[in-house]
Parts: sequence; structure tokens; C-alpha cells
Amino acid sequence: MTTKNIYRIFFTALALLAATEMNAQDTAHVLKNVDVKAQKLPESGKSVMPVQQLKKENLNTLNSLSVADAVKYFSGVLVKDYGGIGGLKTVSVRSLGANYTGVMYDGILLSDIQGGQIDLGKLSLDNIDEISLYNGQPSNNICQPARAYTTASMLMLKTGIPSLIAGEKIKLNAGIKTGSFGLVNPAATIHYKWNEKIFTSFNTEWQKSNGEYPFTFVNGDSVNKMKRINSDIDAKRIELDNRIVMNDSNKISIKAYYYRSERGLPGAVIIDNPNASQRLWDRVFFVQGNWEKRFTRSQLLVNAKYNYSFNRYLDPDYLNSNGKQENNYSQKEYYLSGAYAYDILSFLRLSYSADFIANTMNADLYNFAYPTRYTVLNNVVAQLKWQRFEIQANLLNTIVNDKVKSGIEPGNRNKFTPSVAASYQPFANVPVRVRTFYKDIFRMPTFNDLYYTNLGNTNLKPEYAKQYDIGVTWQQNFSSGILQAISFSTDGYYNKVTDKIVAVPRQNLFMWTMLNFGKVHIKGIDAGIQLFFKPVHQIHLFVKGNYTYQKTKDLSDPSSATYKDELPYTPKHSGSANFGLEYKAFTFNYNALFSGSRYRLGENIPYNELSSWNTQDISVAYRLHSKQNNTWKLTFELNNIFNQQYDIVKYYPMPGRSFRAGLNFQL
Amino acid sequence: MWKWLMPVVVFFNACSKDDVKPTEPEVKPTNGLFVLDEGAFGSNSAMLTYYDIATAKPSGDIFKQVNGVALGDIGNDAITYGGKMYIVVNNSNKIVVTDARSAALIKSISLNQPRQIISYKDKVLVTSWEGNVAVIDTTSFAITKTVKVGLNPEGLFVQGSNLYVANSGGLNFPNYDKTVSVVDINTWAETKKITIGPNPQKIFANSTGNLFVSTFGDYTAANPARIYIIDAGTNTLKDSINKPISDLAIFNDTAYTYYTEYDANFQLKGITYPVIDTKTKTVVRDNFITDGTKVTYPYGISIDASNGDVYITDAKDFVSTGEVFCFGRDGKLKFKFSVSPGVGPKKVLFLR
Repeated sequence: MTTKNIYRIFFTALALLAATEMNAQDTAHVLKNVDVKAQKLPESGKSVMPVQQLKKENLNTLNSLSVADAVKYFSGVLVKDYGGIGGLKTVSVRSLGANYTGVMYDGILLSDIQGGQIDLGKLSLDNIDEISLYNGQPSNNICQPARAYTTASMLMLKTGIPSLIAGEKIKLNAGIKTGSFGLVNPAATIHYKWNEKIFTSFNTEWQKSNGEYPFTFVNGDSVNKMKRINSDIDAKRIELDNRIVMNDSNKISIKAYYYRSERGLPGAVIIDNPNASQRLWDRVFFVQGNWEKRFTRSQLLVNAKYNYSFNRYLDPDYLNSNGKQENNYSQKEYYLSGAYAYDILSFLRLSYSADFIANTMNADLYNFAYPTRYTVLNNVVAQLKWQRFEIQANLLNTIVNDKVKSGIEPGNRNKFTPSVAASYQPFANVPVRVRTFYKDIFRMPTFNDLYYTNLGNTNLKPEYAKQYDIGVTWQQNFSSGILQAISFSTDGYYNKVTDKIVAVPRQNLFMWTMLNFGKVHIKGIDAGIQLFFKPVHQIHLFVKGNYTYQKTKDLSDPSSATYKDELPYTPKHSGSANFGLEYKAFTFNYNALFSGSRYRLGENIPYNELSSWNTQDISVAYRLHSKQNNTWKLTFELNNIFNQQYDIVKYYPMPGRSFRAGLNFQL
Repeated sequence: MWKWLMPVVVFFNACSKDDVKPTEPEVKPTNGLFVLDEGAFGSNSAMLTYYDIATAKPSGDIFKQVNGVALGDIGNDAITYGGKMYIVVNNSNKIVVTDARSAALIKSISLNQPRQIISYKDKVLVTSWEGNVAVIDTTSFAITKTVKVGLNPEGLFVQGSNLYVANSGGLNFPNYDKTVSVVDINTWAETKKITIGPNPQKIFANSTGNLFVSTFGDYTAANPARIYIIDAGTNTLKDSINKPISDLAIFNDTAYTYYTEYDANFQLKGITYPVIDTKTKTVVRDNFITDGTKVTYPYGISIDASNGDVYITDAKDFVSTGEVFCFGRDGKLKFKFSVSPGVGPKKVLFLR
């Protein structure tokens, strides 16, 4: 592809963008020259904190559109999925709840001060190169922002880095997906190299679907075939990245991100009431920068971010005097972070980081408090590392101060929370490591918890979680036998949650409030195995499996019917399986998810029990290399092949059998 | 290659199991109580519990056992009239008509967001949050008239030749409605609105012909929950009783009530059960319950007209199984039972 042609495509794309109010056409996938054969095992086996990873080549095989779909294949993860592309999807790791799961986008935390939960359904996989889930905190490098230590687990997302080969100035990836329920999903990425030091990437995507999927609704003896209504989604995203690489030890990157969407909220399926008309509009804009400088014995990392997000909710059939309910919420975040790490001795590295965060929120709610929160974080980390033994320990100090324009201010908070982790390889010639960690962390009450009109309670204290973990990893390459490589890990854990923030009724059903009421104990096992087979007749095979066991116990109130029962929506057993096969230009993948039975409510009686479910997906892809470095790829996906009818959240049915087809090219 | 996959497929499918079926044995209602359980919003868990007096046993969801289907979402109110039971299912937008004894389904009548129901001369009258009262003929089960009233009407009562409707405006926070509509039952037209206080809820009359209207207030210190008294002769606001209550039921001119009180920091201060003499408008005693019986979260109060027994329903935390307590008028517990798996028991009906 000539530079001239690429410019033509680029400007045509820009013109189209302008025509549809900066929303995008084209398409894309950063198709690296992927090597699925995996001679190289991930670093995760050596990590002191448990980590699970999916790279671009794995993500491409998971029949997934969003980050939420992909993380379902991690162990220890429960995705609360309200169904459809537009349905809310939040992630709870080891049953601690979505408020304890941090999500970092290219090294900086995504924040939602209002609700504290990130909707991973809104994060497209299109521009994602790598997803890593750390229990505890990212432990691969201790030169991290202090904020990376503030959650019980961290999902790290990395976006596409240009893979320009020598002499190439520009690269275009474009593709389109279409499929059941009116899905149209074009995306495009352009990487441009200005010179040897400056790179620009532009990525854009449009997702549209009417979401009208059929489902079977069972009401006792009555079985009805129905269709989801008001389940449409129209989402557009643009990302612009500039990377300045002075040299390997001095890098600056600046990212701008814009997302806007409109969607219907189909609501729960209600007997004899098919009405659904509520709408939600979202806008997210952020710009973030990052400077990383390495010296001989030390490292410096500076991060900054500005985030604006807005959402508008409309219920056009609400029976108040206006005949509708409309709420507009907006929030801003200003973020600055500095981190410095220094190698004191060959085996001892220390780091210190300090973060400052300012959050504001506006809402057109009656008597709204208009809160502003200032957070100062100070964190010190020590890392002792030898070939077969590693210890990491940190102490985090959090100072939080809320200011409000009306109402009561909750006062200053000043907390110290530590963590310690270790990993040990008992035998020099056996690649088996034992690891353990302890982490003490809390979550601040969100702005909704504290200030939401008729609900918020400014007396709320933080909610505390203590995590204990012990595990084993085994990663090995083989020279003889049918196996090429194996990667196995398992962890047992125990979590204690105190002062859990829960909603309780007050006065009548129109008035609820939030209280520090709950106490929960969680025990569990995460296990994962990956097997890569030696190629036979040019056929490459891999098999992966993940299993999760968890037992949650509600210890909040001995007089309650829920005492010692399992928490809602936490199956004891769940798991996933993946199988991949590659033969010449063809790849075939099979993915399965399984969830055991669980309870809809905290009272574990048969009426509240939801039956287990499993879904199985397959995909076939054909890759055609035309001219040099030009690739065309055709994919066909069949999802939920046995048309399993299931709800993850009761009365929010999930889609049955569906298909997607995609065309992708890289020039 | 497909052969390899078969064990996986079989394994996964073997793990699925059928929907949980109700396990309770069927009982035939004879002499006992029906309890309407509201259910949690959006969970289609409105239920009808039958409690058999002779065996002292609750039935589980008798509506589903008899009719094979669930009642719907949010059971808000119910009455028996003319050998039928009328169940208001708010979020399923319907009035379910059943046989009053067997609970066998006769008909469902569509009505947008229905709330409370009374009977009057071969008709049942139902408020709808849309701002009107539906007049339903009890022979044809058709809505014969729709009377426009105020915002989000709740309770209603017929006294003399007028229907009185409490216009709550409960969905219009912070500007609640403050009125009671007066509807002429000969013409089915609203003739007047009487202004009382914010968020009117329930209406009852005593033997003097005065109407007692409970209000939730607007949750500020200036307008607390309060009972207003309307003179049904002149259709004017006559007086009020400065006693906040959440709900009430009247027997022999005595109002049995309860109130869940919260402090400024939303902590539950306590639950009281004021007993009010409606003739003298005085509080007879602040706590109806005299034997120390603890109700976690009172959610409804019903009185057995044949003997004056007071039934207080307990919604607990609104997500777990509720309980029903029966007290004598002396405030001593006679019996109690669980409505498992019902959530949020609200109204008690008496079957004889």
C-alpha cells in the first residue's frame, strides 16, 4: 500500500467522521504477526501476586466484544452481566464486589466517584492489546502510582502499540463485524511514524445493535417465547495516542479518549408488563500523559490525567407531574502522580510514590450536596529479590477530605494500610514456585453512598477488606513428549470484609439509606492450567481450563434469615475451558463457560436458587497474506451454540444462539 | 475432533438442572387467612400465602400451586368481595380476580400501575398511579368508568354519596400532592379537592362519619407524618392528630397504628405502635404490643372484623422471608407464622 493511498483513506475517513459528528467509520484490529504457538510462557509464573493474562492473540479467539466478555475466562472473577451488548457488566474478583476492582487503562486508573463501579461492557476490546488481572496489586514493577495499590485487585488494560517494521511509515488496520440482533461494528486504527522518535496512533470504533434478542421466559407452567425490547446500543469511541520514544529509557505518551453512547435500559422481564422505555446517554472524555525515565539504578514515573464524564437518564413514562424523570450527572477528575524507585543493593529496590486526586460531581438532584473530594496518597514499597526468592511489602497512606456545598461534611479520613507478598522456588531445577500474600485495604464510600438525595448517609465509614492468599505455580517447557509447554497455577484465599456498606430500608419503600452493616467471610480456590502441544502435521493445539471455588458467608446479623448464608449471585463452582487449533491459514477455537447454581437473594432457600448454566462458543478464522505484510482475515463466530437460556442476574435474560462474521485487513 | 469435544459438552450439560419447583404440598383453603406478599421490585415475587387455622400451617405460594403461574411483580393490595378475591399487582399492571376460597384464577384485568382497592355496590374501585380511579364491574370484570383525580392516588374510601381519594404525589418528590379528591359516586366525577398535608396515604372513617387520612409528610421537620381529620358532611379539613404514623387500621373507632422512626442520621430510633381513640383524638397508649414481641420491620396492619384481632406483618429486610404476627386487642401475641418464601407480607384477608 502506497503512502498516497493511505493518505487518501485517512482523509476520507476524516471527512466521514466530520459528517457523523466525529463518530467513526472504519475499523480495526492491531493484528500483530501473531504467534499462537506460545513457546514463550508468560511472566506470570514468577509474580509474587497472582496474575492472569490475556494477550491480543488470545483475545482474538474469545468471541468477545468487550473487556467484560473476555474477563469471564479468568478464574476468581464473577461478571454481573445484565445481558446484551448494552447491558451493565461489572466485575467482582474473589467475591469482594465491583467497588474493590480497579481498572487501569494504559497505566492510569479509570474512576467513577459516583458509583465506584466500572462498567466493563463499555470498554471495547478493539483497541486492547493485553488484559492482566492482579490480585492484590500489580507486582511486576514496584515503580507504580500509589493509586495502583488502593484496590483489592487490579485489571490492567493496555492499548495497541504500533508494530511498524523497519522502513514503514504508516500502517492501517480496519475491519467490520456484523451479526445477530442488528450488530454493525466497524473499527479502524492508523499508526503513523513521524520520525524514529514520534509515533501517533488513531483508533476509532462504532458499535450499533438493536439488541432485540429472543429468549424463553418461564413462569411456572407457562413458557413464553419473547424478545428483549428497548435493548439497543449505539456507541462510538475515538482514541488518539502520541508516543515519544527518546530512547529505551526515556518515553512519553499522551492519550486522548472520547466515548459516547446512547442505549435503552430494557429492565427486568416483568410478568404481564412488557413496557420498557428508559434511556441512558453517556459521554466520557479523558486526556492522560505519562513520562517514564530510567536511570542506571533508578526509575521515575510521572502520570497526569483529566477526566470528564457525563450521563443522562430518562424515564419518559414516569408518573410524576412532569410525566417523566430525567437526571443529569457529571463528574470531573484531576489526577497527578509521581513515583520513584531506586536500587539500593543488587537485591533491594525501594520505591516511593505520591498521588493527588481531586473529584467533583454535579447532579440535578433536589438538595444535592455538590461534593468535592481531595485524596492524597503516599506509598512506600520495598522489594527484596533473589533468583529463587522475592518479597514485596508496601505501606499506603490515604488522606481523604470531602467538601460539600450543602449538608453535612463527613470529615477527614487518614488511613494506613499495608500489604506483604512473597514468592519462593524451593528447587533450583524445578520451575515450581510457592507464593503468598496478605493485603489490608478499604474502599471509601462513593458519592452515591454519601450524598445521593434520600439515600446517602454522610456518617458512613470506609468498608474494610483483608485478603490472605497462598498458591503454587508451575511453568515448564518440554523438549520431549507431546507437550511443548505447561502453565499451571492454583491459589487458596480467605477474605474478610467488615463494615460492609449496604442499602437498608427506612420509613417506607420510597426511602432507603446506606449503612456500615455487613460482615462477610469468603473462602475460595482459583486454579488455571494451559497446555500447549507440539505441532503434528502443521496442526498446533492448545487447551486451557480455569476453575473457581468459592464459599461466601454472610455474618452480618445473627438474627437475620441470611445469617451464615451465601451472598447473592456467588456460585460455589464456576469455570471456563478453551481449546484452540491452528492449521496453515485456518484457526479454530472453542470456548466454554460454566456457572454452578447460586442464590438470587441472601436467604439460601430453594425458591431463591438459580439453576446452573453453561455456554459454548466456536469460531473459525481464515487468514490470507496477500502482498508483503498485508493480511486479510475472515472470521465466523457462533455463540452459545446449544442456545442455552439463562440469566446471570435473575429476570435479565442473556442472549441465546447468535452469530457474528467479521472481515479485517491490515495494510 | 468433535469426538474429543463430546465429553466436555456432556459434562457441561449434565451440570444444568431444571428450574426449582415449589416443594410445598397443595392444601385446600378452608378456614384461615390469605396473606398478600408484596415481593421485591423487579423480581416477579408477589405471592399469596394461605395460613390454615386448624393445622396452624402456612402453605407457601398458594397462587402458584393452584394456578401454575406466579402472580406477578409487587402485590400491593387485595380484598375479598362477592365470593371473589381481587389482588392488585402494581408493577404487572393488573388486577387478578380469583375465587375467594380456592384462589383459582378467574380473570386478569389490565390497569396501569394500580395501587389500592375497595368494594362498593357490585363494583370494585382501584386507584391507579396514572392519576385516576378505575370503576370495575364485578360481573363483567370490565372497567366501566375511569375517574380523574390527583397525582399518584393511593387509599380510597366511600362515605355517604362520596368517594374520597388520597392523592399522594409520591412519585413527585419533593413536591408531593397534598390533597384528597371528593368524587360524587352518582356521576363519578371529581367535585372537590381538599388540601391537607404532603403525601396522603390511607383513608378510613369512624362511626361519627369523620374521615381519617394518614400522610407520610415530606420527610422534613416542618411537615412530619400526621393524621388529618376531614368532616365528611362539609368536606372540609377539620382537625389533625399530631402523631406520626406509617400505617393504620380502625376497629370500633380505635385506630391501631405503627411508626418506624429514624433520627437525623438515618439510624433507626425505634418502632412504636400508637393506639389512638378516633373519637377523642387522643393516644390511648404508645405501644400496642404489651408482651415484648419484637417485629423487625412492620409493613402492614390488618384487623379481623369478626373479633378485632390485629395482624401486623413483618417485612424484615425486604429481601428475606417475612412473618405475620397475630395479636389480641390487649397487645399480646396469639400466634405467628412465616410466609416463606414470600417477601414483604402486606395485607391479611380472612377466609371463613
